[in-house]
Amino acid sequence: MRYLILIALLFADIAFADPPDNYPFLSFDSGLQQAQQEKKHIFVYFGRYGCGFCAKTNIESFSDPELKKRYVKNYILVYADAESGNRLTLPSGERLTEAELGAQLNVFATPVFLYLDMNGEVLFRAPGFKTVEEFVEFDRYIQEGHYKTKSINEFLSKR
Amino acid sequence: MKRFLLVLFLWCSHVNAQSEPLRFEPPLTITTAANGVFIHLDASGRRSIAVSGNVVGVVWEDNRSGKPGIYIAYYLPDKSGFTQPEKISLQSSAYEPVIMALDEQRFLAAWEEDEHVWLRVLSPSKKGDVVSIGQAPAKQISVAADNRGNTGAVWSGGPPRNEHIYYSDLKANAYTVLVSPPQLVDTSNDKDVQSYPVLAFSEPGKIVAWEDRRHGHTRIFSAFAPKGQPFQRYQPLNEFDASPNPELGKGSGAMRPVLASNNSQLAVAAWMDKRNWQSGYDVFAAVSENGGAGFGGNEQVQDMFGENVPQWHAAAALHGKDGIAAVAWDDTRNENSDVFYSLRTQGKWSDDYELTGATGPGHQSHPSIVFDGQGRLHVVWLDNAGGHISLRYARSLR
Repeated sequence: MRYLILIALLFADIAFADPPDNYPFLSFDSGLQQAQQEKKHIFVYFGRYGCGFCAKTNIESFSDPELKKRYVKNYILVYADAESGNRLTLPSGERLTEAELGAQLNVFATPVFLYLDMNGEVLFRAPGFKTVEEFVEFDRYIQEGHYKTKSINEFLSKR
Repeated sequence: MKRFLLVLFLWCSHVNAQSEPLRFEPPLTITTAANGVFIHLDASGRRSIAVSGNVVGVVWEDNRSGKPGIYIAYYLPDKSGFTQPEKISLQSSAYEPVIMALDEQRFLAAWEEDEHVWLRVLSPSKKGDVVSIGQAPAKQISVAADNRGNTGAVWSGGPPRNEHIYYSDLKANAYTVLVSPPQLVDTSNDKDVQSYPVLAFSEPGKIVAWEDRRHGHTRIFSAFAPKGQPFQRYQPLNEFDASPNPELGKGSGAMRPVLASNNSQLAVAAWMDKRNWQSGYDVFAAVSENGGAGFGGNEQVQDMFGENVPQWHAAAALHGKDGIAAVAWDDTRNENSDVFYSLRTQGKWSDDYELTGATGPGHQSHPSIVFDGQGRLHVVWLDNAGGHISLRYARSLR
C-alpha cells in the first residue's frame, strides 16, 4: 500500500511540483497572518514547477507520517512557487508576486526551505533536498530555541 | 613573424567585435516613495518606458493612494526633470503597467485592474478614455506598435491553471482605442498554463513570446504570424537537454521573456534561464533575422563575471538603424544589487557594463530599456537606499 502511495505521489508531484498532498500549506501572506494569531513559527517551502528535487523531497521526506505530524503541529506551513505571478502582501504592506519574493530572498535554486519567526524574520534557510532526519534536526533547532544562540552549523556539529 | 601577425590580427578582430560601453547623462529621479510606499516596475515584457518623438513616458505601480495604482510621468525636451506623477488607472488595485510609443507624443499604456486588462492613450496634455479588453479574468498585458501603424496587445486570460495567451489588433485614433476581437495565439490541443506574454511587430509580421508549462516545467515559446495571417504553430525558444537525472525533474526553469524588434527583419528575445541551475538564473537570448519567423540558437548574454550569481529582471531593446541589441538586468556580483547591460554587435554580446548611476551602495534593480530614433538608450530602474525607494532614469549620449 505504501508503495502504491509513493507511486501516486511520484506522478502527482512530478506533474505539478506542488507542495505535498494533505499538508495544510498556505500562501505567504495568509501564513504570516495565521502565525501571528497562533504565535507559531513559519516554515516556507519555495518550489518550482517541474522541480525534480522538490518532487524527491515530497516523495522521500514529506511522505513520512511522523514528520508530517511534527511540522503540522509546530509550524504554519507556507508554499511559494518561485516562478509564479501570484500576488501576496508582506507585513510591510508591499504587494508583490511570489517570484519577486523569491528574488528578494535570493531563492534561485529550488527547493529552498525557510524557517521564519512569527513576524516573518528569516531564522535560517535550508536549500536543496533534505532527508526526514535533517528536517527533524531543523525542527529541534527552532523549537528548542537553539537558533537564539547558535548558527545551524554549530548546532548540527554539537549534536 | 607570421605567428605574431596572426595573433595581432585575432586580437584586433576581438577588439573590433567588442562594443564600447555607452556614456550616459547624469541620472534623474522621477519619483521617490514616502514611507510605506512601494514602487514596482514589473510589466510583462518589462516595457515600462517609451519614447515618442522627443518625449519620454514612464509608467509604474505604487501604493501612494493607499492601494496599488498606475502612474505616468513624462520627460519633456524643454524641461530639466520629469513631470509630476499622474494617476492613470481606475479606482481599484491596479498592477503591472506597460507603455508603448505612438506618434505625435502619444503613448499607449495598459495594466491589470479588477481581473480585467485595460488600455489608455495618453500624452502630456491629454488622457483618453480607459478601455477594457478581452474577458475576465485577464492579466499580464503587454502592448506593441510599429512605424507602419500596427498596434496590438497580448495578455494571459482564463481561470487559474487554465490561462492562455490572447492577441488583439488595436487601432488608436487620436485618444480612442478600438479593439478587434481577441484570438488565441496558440490553437494547439495540448496547451497547458501560459503566462507573461510579450509582443513585437516586424516587417514580415508579428511575434509573441510567452512562458509555457506544457512540458512539465516552464519553458519559453514563441509564435509568428505573417502579415494578415493567423499565428503559426508555436516554437520552443529556450533550448535544453532533457536531463538523464530524474532528480532534476522535467527540466530547468525559464521565465519572463522580453522581445524587441527593429521594425524590419531583426528581432531579439531574452529571458531568465536556469539551465545552469547551481547559480540560479542566467540571461539567455535568441536572435531572429527573418522578422521572428524563426530564431537562431540560444546565446548567453551575461559574461563570465556574472556566472556565479543569479541574474534577475532582464529587459531588451533594439536600435532599428544599427541593429544593435541591448539587454539589461540586475545581479549581485558586487555584493549589492546593481544594474548591468550588454550590447550585441556583429553577432556577439559585449562584456557586461555597469549602468552609470545604477551601481554602488544601495540596491539598484528592475531595469526597463528602450532605444529612441537617434540610437540613444533610455533606462529606468528602481533604487532602494536603505528602504527609501526611488524611480530613476538615465539616457545615453550616443
